[in-house]
Amino acid sequence: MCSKYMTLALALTFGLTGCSRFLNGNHSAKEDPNRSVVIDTKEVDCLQSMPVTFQKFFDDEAPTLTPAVECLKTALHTFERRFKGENAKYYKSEELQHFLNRYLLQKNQISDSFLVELMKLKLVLVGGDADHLTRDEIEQISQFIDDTEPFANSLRGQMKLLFFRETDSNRLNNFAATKENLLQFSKFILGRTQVTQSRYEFVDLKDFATELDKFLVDSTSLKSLLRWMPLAESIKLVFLGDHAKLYTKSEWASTTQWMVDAYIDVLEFYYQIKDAKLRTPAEWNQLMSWVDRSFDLVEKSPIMQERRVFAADALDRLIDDVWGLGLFQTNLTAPLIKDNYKKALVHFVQGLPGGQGSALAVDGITDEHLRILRKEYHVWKMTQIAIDDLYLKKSDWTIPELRHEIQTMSVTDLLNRVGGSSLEQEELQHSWQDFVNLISLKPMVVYGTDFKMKTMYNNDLVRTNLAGMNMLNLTKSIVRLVFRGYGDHSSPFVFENKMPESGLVHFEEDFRDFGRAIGFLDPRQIKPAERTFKEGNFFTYHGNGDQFLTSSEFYEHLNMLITGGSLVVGNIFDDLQAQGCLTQDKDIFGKQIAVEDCFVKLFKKNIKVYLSHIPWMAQYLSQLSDDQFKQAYQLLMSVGRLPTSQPNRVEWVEIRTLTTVLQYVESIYSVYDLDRDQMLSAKEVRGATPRFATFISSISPLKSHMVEDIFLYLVYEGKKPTGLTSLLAFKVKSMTGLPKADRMNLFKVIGVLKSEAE
Amino acid sequence: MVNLRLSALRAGLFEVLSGLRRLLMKDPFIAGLFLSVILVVLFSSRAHADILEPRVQASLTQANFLSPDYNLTQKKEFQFISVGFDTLSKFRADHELENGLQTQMIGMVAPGTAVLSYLDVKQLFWKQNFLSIGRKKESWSYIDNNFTLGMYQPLFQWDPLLPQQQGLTGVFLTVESPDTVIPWGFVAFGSPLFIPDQGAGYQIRNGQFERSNPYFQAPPKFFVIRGQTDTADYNIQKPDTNDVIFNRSFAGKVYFGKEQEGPYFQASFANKPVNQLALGFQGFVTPNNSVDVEIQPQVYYHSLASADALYSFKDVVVGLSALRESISSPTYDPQWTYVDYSRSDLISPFVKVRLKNFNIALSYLSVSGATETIKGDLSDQSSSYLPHRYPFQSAYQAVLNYRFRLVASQYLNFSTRYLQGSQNEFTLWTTQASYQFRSNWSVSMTTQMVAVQDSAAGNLISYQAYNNNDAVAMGVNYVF
Repeated sequence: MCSKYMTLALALTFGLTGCSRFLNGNHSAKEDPNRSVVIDTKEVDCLQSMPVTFQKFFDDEAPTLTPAVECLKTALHTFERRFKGENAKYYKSEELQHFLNRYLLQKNQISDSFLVELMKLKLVLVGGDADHLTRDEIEQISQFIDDTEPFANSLRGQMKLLFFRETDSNRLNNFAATKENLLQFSKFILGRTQVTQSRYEFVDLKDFATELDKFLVDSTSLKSLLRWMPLAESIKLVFLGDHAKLYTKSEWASTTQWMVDAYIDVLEFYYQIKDAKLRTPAEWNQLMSWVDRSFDLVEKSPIMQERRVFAADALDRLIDDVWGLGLFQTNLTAPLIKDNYKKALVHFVQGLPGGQGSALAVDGITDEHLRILRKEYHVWKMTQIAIDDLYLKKSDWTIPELRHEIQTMSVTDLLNRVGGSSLEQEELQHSWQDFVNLISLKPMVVYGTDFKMKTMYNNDLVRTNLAGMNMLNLTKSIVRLVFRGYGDHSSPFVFENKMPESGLVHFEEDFRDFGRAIGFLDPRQIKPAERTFKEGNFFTYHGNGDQFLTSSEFYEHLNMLITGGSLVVGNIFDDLQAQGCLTQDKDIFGKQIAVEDCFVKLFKKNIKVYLSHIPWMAQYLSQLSDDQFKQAYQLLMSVGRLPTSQPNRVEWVEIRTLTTVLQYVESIYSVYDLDRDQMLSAKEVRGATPRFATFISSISPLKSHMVEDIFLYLVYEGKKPTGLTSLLAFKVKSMTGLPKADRMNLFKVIGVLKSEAE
Repeated sequence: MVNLRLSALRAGLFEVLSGLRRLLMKDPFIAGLFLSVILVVLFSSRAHADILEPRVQASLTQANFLSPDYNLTQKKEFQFISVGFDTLSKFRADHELENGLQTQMIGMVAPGTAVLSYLDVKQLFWKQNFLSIGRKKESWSYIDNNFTLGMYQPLFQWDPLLPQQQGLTGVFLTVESPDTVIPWGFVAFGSPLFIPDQGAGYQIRNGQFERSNPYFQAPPKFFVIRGQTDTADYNIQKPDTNDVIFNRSFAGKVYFGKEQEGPYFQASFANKPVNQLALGFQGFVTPNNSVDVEIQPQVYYHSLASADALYSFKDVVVGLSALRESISSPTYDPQWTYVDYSRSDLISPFVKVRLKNFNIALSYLSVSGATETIKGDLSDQSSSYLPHRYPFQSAYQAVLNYRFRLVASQYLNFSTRYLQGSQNEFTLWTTQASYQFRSNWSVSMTTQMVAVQDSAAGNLISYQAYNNNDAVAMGVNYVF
């Protein structure tokens, strides 16, 4: 019995006590009542590196966008299967915001306003409801991203090019391929999205970019893009209007095609035209091709097709934005540009005479303006084609060779190559003849290989290059434009018109602020138009001193001003800077004022360099004694000296006048020193008299009487007659013979003329 | 250390008894019931001679969880009242059963913890000669029987550490020829019905599984998604009852010899739904900073083929059992996450020693195959949460049964099972003992001890979730 109980006890003990290993605390994670499942979302970790991937793609450093595309698809797929809104079939926009912010983004949060922009974009991509994103739409977006990949990848290596950041010249040649890829991409976007049915506008895109920038916080690349947004919007406003009325697929397709063409055109300008040196005919041909395409684009722009006008408001805004971005380093202000382009339209393009028409009445650039501008471009282009042809044959020509070649060129061939409309043919033929006439003039305006207008006894000896001929073509076109508005409109052909002094005065009045801003006009100068008119009449090769400026006079004068008043003074100023001759004081143009002694010393030392375009003048001045040089300098400076000039200081404008006057004198010399002995005989001086006769008559109490005697008096006495007695005394004296006059005499005459003109 | 644990066990026993006392004091109904039982006990005119042949049994039980780290429920002690009705407690061959209704069922109520209440109908069938209709247990496979794997027959898994077989439900055709030179027989089973495993009860309140059932492993309460912790919101998509119930099954078994004497061989085959429903789930993050978890149970099929060969000596039985399971894939939509198992082969040698009041069985089980492939969106995160096909891959098992008569009407019954992983990664030790101190009165005690390593191997063991479910239960039983 006892053993039985013992057995029972053993059994119970064995059964109950167990092994100590069971009761010890061994807490497995599965028993934790607060245990959690960690949902691994490694598949969307790639989102973190997505900005870098895209940045590399935009920097042309990533070979493909495929990993980023895969990541996006995975993220979408993950989102779709891991997140559920209150309604299982769709997500409310605020639910999307919550999910993305809380789980996927965390660092960068989607604001309410960014959410609105995202949903707008969603509408464009897949349509639907602005407040909902359905699961089916997520699939569509994923498919869209998938389908986008090959098109996006087709642009790999071209992103810097597309975003104006390419610096590798080897990559700048294949615009055609880039254009084709961009076009295919655009067509795909059009075909696959709901953009044609949406009301998505540029302002939405801008708002999206703005919100995206806030979202990304420190995206430098986006910030740089945003900087251009206002400009892009302005350009859009000009060419597409405020609300583009695109209703059909074909309208969208044609507009998209236009936008791609325009974008590529701008790219070509940025990479190939903007910094082109234009030193070869090929570069000029490239420029002309680009301008042709640009004209086509502008004429075919949606707004021009629809409204026949680029609205002035939009253009003004565009100018404001361009200036706001500081794209041009210039003293010209946006209001000035806005005012002057309208004036240019009124006078240069519409051809309204000075004093008529108003910039305020300009509604914008109309198709009529474009046609005229294109015609003037064709005028320029026709000559340019001829010039390019010549310089494709060789790099420099003598004038007789040029004349022969140009005079014998086939006008028909040139016309065909210009490609102008049939309505332009007559004008083009005339304009070509104008150019032939200018080339045939003796002396003719000619630029040396140093790109300065040469003034010599025989300009035919000069060898000229492409740059020089281009300048002639350019100035000829400028003359045409000015004469369109300010000529006397006596002939339907612009170059046959004449410009009265009042025309030039109007021109100066209309563009005074512009002229002053570019430093062409000095505000301290009195009646600059009248002065210029006289200078054009007196000192050009073919000036005749009458009441009009002919187109050739204006053309010659313009080139003189460019050389003497710009190029030469520019060279001098560079040297003044290098020699430390400039003070810290600045003139009204912001240019540093030079120390006069230093300038004179430098000028004299380098006179043959500075005056290489007037070599005989340089020779003359270099041979003068110090006293004579000083006298000559003082005579010349008496013409250009400003009333505000300070002792031992000389301003840029004064030097410009000096060099210009020297060119004027040499122009007279080259025409009237018929025996080319560096001196003007009395006969030669008399020969010049008609040029000044009208002027002398206008200021002489004797009117048209004794004009020649008065002029001789001026030349030989260096002053105007003090009265009839002195004039008669000089006349008696001249009967016994007059010595030859040299350039110093003419310096004096110019001084007198200047003071009399004033 | 040992003293400490012994004191813990003593404290557990004390808690069991005091818990019973509290139960009686707290609930007048329970107290009345208990009093009635006592009165019946004291004045009962009927007495059963053998506790192993009960017809109706009522029990009062108190269970206590002993481990200081136990935390599956907030309370650690539970009380149960159960009533069982059993006509089949003693094993008999089919031809030994009388025609008529046979049953083996038990119902239990857990006062205050309704989720623990159950009705376990292990068997309930009508027998008419060789034909039986209803739920009936058969010995389809020794492996399935010995290790209670629930391959052929569903399991009653109220306590996953102490699973019990339930019968298949359908029509059984049993033909036996016990008296021929070579005894033989076969069982054919077919059914349009399917009743899966009966698991532990659970409650979901506000999307969260209540911590009310110590035998139910609640899924995780939180989800951490990219650093954000969200509350889980569970919803079980209960399949249509018809979709579960109306699934056809068929099985067959043929045997030769006598199990208790000489050589014996049996082979079985079945094609039927897997007794353990597949569990698929999908989770969605919601705008409310919670994760909606949809759980969808699903019926799927497998084919079983098994063979058992054994030889019974006088006191020793040696045998070898093998089973192959070919399992189909559940048919979830792609968004669901679920586990797909490959074919598995199980083999188990065993030896059994039979003495007068005592028998001991030693066996070993090895599972090969059953590779788990988790499919679906959340496959990477789900390996720890989806069920394994088998509770373990290989293990040794020792089962000891002891029945001892103390005096004329006093018996001691003792049974213990010791299951240990072949890599020592887990140990499960369950013991059941009863002491019949009067002809219809007994007290019983059940203990279960489990230890699973917190290691890679341990993570593959289904018992790991109940690592601290070390418990002792004591009860008093009355047989009517």
